[in-house]
Amino acid sequence: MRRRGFVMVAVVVVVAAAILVATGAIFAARGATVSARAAELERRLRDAALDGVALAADRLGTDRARLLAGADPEDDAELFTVRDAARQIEVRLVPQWGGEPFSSEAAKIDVNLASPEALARLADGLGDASGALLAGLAASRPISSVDALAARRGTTELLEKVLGPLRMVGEERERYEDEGAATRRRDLAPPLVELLTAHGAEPLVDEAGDPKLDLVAAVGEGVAQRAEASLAEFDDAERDALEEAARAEPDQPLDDGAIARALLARGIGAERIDAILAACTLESGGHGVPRLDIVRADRRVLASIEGIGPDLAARIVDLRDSLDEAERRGTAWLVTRRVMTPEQYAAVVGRITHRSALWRFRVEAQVGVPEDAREGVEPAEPKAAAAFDCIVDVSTERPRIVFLRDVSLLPTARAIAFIGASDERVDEPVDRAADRSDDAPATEPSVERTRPASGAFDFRAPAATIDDAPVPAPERPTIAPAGRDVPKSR
Amino acid sequence: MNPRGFSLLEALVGVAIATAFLGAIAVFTSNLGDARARLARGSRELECADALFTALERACATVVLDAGAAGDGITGDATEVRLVRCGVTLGDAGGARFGDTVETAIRHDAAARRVTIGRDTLPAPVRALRLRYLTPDGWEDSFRSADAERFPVAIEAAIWFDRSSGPADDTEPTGAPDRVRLVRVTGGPRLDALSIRRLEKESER
Repeated sequence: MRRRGFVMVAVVVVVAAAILVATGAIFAARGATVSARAAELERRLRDAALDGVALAADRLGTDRARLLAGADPEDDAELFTVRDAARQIEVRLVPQWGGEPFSSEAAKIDVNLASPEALARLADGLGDASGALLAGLAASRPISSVDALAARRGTTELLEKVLGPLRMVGEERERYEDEGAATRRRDLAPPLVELLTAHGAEPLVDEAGDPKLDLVAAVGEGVAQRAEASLAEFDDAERDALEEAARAEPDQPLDDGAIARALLARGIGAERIDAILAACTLESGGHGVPRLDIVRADRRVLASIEGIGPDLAARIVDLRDSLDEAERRGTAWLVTRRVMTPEQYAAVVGRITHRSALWRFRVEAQVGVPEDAREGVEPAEPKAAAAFDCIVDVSTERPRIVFLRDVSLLPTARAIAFIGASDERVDEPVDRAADRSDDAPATEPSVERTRPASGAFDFRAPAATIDDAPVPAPERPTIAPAGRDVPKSR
Repeated sequence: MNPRGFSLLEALVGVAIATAFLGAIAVFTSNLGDARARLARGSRELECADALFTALERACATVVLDAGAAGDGITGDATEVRLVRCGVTLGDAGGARFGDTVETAIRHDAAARRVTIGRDTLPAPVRALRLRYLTPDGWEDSFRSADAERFPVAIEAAIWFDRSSGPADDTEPTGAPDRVRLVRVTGGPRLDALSIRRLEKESER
């Protein structure tokens, strides 16, 4: 009897050990499978999101003529869906701060080229942490992207100031949007990514996408250049004004405002000035001095521009929603609607525009549940998402990706920052009362004023007259089309 | 049955059956061990190639031409490449958190016969890694994006795994690579598949 009991215990022990070994093997295999599936899903999501970037860029490229004429891109956020038997990957554009899927880069101040005074005025308008960040920015330019500003202190608070709701990716951002973010954000100061850009150069192309008439070449700095550019389409008064502008003294600022001032001096109206500026330029190369998109810029950005200020900015913002289609195709409405005097207009017209050739968007790829999936069946994958921030330039014939950043790891970086900084406060929602820029105490920015951002454009060689013998073309400053595919000058 | 025990013949048959059985078990166990080793090696190689190609694809998707103070966006030769891409830094290794410049360095350590991606060493022994850079003018063995002032069309990574059981073979591999992949660079010059094939044939000649 005792012997039989011993055998039974031995059998039980052996069976238990076998079950443990088998269970361990099953869990190990399951772990390896889940890991492999997660890696495969991550790759699929990333590929889908990149396809979405290409599709969105192509969509903007298709709209090129409309965009260069001053229109907005189509606001259809859905891009495409990839579906197989068990799941579907949905790829869509994410709402920017204004609620639209695309935001105009021309409606932002170029952080690398803006004057320190303009940055200081914008900082005054923002107050709080965003203003403090801007106040010290002039000394540390150039920066590669506005997004990188968040790395200065690496806190979640600063990330919120820089990216706003776009610091969230996937489901977290969707929940935020669903909770009425669009309504709440009306009273809030926009995040810095909506106010600043590192890609602000104005493309020197007309509405049709053709290069603008180079006036300096047209008035004769060499027979060959003169042959390619002609002033024949202008009447005598206009031609005289354009020649005068092209031969302006070197110490005058070299933006196309000189054309407007010369035309205005001859009594030419704002609408004609606007039309001539849309077709002619004093600048050379593919891109020129950044111009601010007055139709889409935030009031704070408008107010920071020299020659506009807070009062005019408020009037522009009040009026621009009531513009008709024809008025929206230019900036002359600033005079015809009596927002500015012709003199005020001539002073700023070389630095403003009504259109944007560069548009920012975010593409997200997420796993969704097919509509006709069996009820009660949950997808096995984690709620992962891949996301890319992108800026596309449509001034070139084929849309060019100027900026492309993989932001899929933003939630991970935030989680690490939150865990790592025990003394850091909780990452609160954006809609705190302290964020209201109007209520925030004004800060005294300590701005470095040693480097005039527009200094690169302050010189010009004297232009030759038509009667002079051909001389070598003067070296005119050009703006490199900043972007990920352009080498930096080091 | 003989009550005194087994006969000699019965004992011999029993020993023969036991020997055959033990032999079969030994062969089976040995084959099983070999198969397990092959499977483990294949799995390691697959993991190694997958990690390498994924890192290269991820970097090429958002690589920049010139990262300013961080150097060229793409700096590479036949055995190593460094790519600076636009992503999100996590603040590890003393770097900034939420920064937008992420470095990916892939290199083959010939002495250790391993491929490293950043600080990670891949598990499979690699005899040779060959990196080539496809430009509109053909294949190049080295590339610096800021000097070239453009992206390459694509980067090709080819791997020869080390499967020798004895001492390491230091000769150049001559046959086809065990794994090869051509990764396009986002924003690089557009080249259709036929042009790539033509460049490939010219390279083979």
